[in-house]
Amino acid sequence: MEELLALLGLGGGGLLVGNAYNQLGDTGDLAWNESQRIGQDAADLTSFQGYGVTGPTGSAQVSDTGDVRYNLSPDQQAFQGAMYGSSLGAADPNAAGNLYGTQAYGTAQSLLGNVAQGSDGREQEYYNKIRAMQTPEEQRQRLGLETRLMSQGRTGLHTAAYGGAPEQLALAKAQEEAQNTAAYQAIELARQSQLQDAQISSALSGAAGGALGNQGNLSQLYGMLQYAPQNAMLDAFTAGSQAYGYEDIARRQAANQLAEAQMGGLEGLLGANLGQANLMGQVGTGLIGGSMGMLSSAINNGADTFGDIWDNIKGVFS
Amino acid sequence: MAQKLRNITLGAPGFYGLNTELSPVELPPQFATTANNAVIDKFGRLGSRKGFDTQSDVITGLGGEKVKRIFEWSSGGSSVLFAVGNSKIFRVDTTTTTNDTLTEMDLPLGYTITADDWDFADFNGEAYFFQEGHEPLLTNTTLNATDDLDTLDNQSAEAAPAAPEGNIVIGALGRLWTAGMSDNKYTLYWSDNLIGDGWTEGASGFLDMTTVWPNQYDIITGLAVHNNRLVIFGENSIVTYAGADDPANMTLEDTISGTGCIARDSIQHTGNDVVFLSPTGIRELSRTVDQPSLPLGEVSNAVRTQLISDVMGEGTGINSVYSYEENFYLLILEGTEYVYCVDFKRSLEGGARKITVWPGSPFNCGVRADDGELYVGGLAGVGKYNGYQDDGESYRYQYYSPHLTFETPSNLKFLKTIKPILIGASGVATISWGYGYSGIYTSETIDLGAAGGLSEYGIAEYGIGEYSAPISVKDDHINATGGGSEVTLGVGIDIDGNPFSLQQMNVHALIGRLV
Repeated sequence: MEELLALLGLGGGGLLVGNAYNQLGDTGDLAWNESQRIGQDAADLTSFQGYGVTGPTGSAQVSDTGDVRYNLSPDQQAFQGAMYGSSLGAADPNAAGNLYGTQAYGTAQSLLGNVAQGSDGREQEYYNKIRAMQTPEEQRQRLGLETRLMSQGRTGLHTAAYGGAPEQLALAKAQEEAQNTAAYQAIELARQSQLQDAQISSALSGAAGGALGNQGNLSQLYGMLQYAPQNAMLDAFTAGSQAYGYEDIARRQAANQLAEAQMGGLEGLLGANLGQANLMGQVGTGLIGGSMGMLSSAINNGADTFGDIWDNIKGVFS
Repeated sequence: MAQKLRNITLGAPGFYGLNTELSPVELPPQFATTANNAVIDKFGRLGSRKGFDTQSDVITGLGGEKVKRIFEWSSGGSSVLFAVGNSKIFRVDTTTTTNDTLTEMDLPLGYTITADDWDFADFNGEAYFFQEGHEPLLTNTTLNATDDLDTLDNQSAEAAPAAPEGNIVIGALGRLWTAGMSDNKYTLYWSDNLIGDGWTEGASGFLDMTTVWPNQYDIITGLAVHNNRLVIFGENSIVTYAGADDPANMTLEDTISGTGCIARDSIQHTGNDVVFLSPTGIRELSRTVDQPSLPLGEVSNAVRTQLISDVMGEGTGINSVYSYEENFYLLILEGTEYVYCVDFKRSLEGGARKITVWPGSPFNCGVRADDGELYVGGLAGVGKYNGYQDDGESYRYQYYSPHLTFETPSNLKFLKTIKPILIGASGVATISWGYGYSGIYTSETIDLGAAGGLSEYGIAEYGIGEYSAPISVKDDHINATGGGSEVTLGVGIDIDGNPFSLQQMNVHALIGRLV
């Protein structure tokens, strides 16, 4: 009998251990599955969600996949259409923009040509302009001297020392000095002008290059009109995105907190299951241990073999 | 009924000089209608002129032509006479007697003289000769040492000398001045300071007068300096410049339009004025400046029409000379051998001068030397205005009064006696009288007897022991005949070695009925 009880105890302990084992396995499965769910939930909750921003000039829609779509308002679309038409017009070689570019380019080339030609011509031009300013006064001085010489009967005077009258020499010297000064001023102004032309030419060349392209034309046109609805919309989108960022952060924190709460619950459940399994296992282990002790006593009492045990058990039932 | 004889005295007849302008009836008796070979002597009488006292014996170089110009070159206290004629320039040398030889001066190699219209300047120790179309010449050697002449351009130190070939030259205000180039008669040129051969450098220069003439185009006909002012004569204008010692800064001071100088060699300095021949007669510059348009300002107002006519008829040349010592200005018409003698001792009312004329004069030119001697040139060569013969020949003095009415123009006059007082001279004096305007005269002669001289103050000096020549005073009378309402008296005498003066004419006339 003792041996049968040992066997039953052993069997029951084994069952309990087996149940504990299985329950541990189930608990693991549960933990895995729940963690996957929680993760999925967290992932679902923290995944990127599309949003939209609406500003004065239009709206921007960000899809869940991150695509951004800008939409001008109908008014701005109409205006843009008009501007686009203008820009298309600007692409016309005869359009103002292109003419502007062409003219700018031509002017730039002309200025470059002038720069390349040197400063003689422009020195002469400045000299002539300065002299044109000086000449009336010189004319008055000359006429005054002529009148004085006339009244003094010296109009036809010629001297080896002075050429004419000494006053004529003095006036001629003064005028020559003025002419020399004008020449120096003309040289200086011509150099400055040449440098300025080079700078303007460079600037015009760039402007002409831009103006001759459509974008350049449009940009130039928009730039000229100081019209940038997309920039305004982008500015609005930036501001809206910032607000959306706050909401996104809050949502993500809520997801984290939810996941953490679920994980806490899951951990409690897993702990209970583990406790149960451990209890069951300890009971089973105790039964097994006790059974094993009985068996061991049986053995010690006479059954020296396993067959003897088995015969004893059978004897119980027999 | 017989009328009482009336004595009419003409004191110093004709001492106003010649007057051919006023109507003979209106002419005061002090004027003369003829005053040939006469001068106003120092006593204010109408006397005979002096003669041509020939100095030069050797005149072969003239080739029978007259001396056309005569100049004096003074330097270092001595002087040399130059005479020009026969396209030559002569130095008047002393061989046996003073100034007895005309020595032809050597010219630069290749230089040819084609005319004798030289003008002369004594400037800064050298003698300069200018004539249109001729390179100017100068004496470049020591006075009295040589007869060489050279061109200014040869003598010049300038890099490219080019002395203007002017026809007028004066040396004044520190430089030479010239004008009258053949292709440019309107430009005045001046030389460098004190350098007569410098015309292109230094202070030299020129003045185109075309813009200066007050009225119209003109040409320069003469130059003078007066009161430190440069006087530029045109034919129809005169302009004066102040400050001409610095030509580059000289200024026009005055312009006179409507009169000018028509003869370069008529310009003479009288000490306090400049005399010149204008288109309307002889003028003095100062009075011309003061009253340019007044005919009374003309020196030759009394003979204006005749003078203009004679000048216009003169085809050879006009010369002049002024003598301080004789106090006269001689305007010499070379071709007609006619001289207007303008007395400068005293002027008449209105500024006109007393004028006499010397027809058939041997004086072709003249110059007053620094020693006061008046040298003259002519067919006989060079002489002095001295003595009372023309190269040894006599000349005729003539005086005719205006038509005298003795203040009773409506009455007939019957001359009974003419009693002139004739001083000096010798030989025979012809006394003429006539009536009316027929020009027919009746003459009687007065024998003046032996030669007699005029007593002149200042010649005989007390204590020297010399007496002046005896004075020949002739106061004979002649009986006149005929009658008429106007009476003309005349005196004619051949001057042949002795001076003569017409002191007075007394006329006894019977004043008759009204005409």
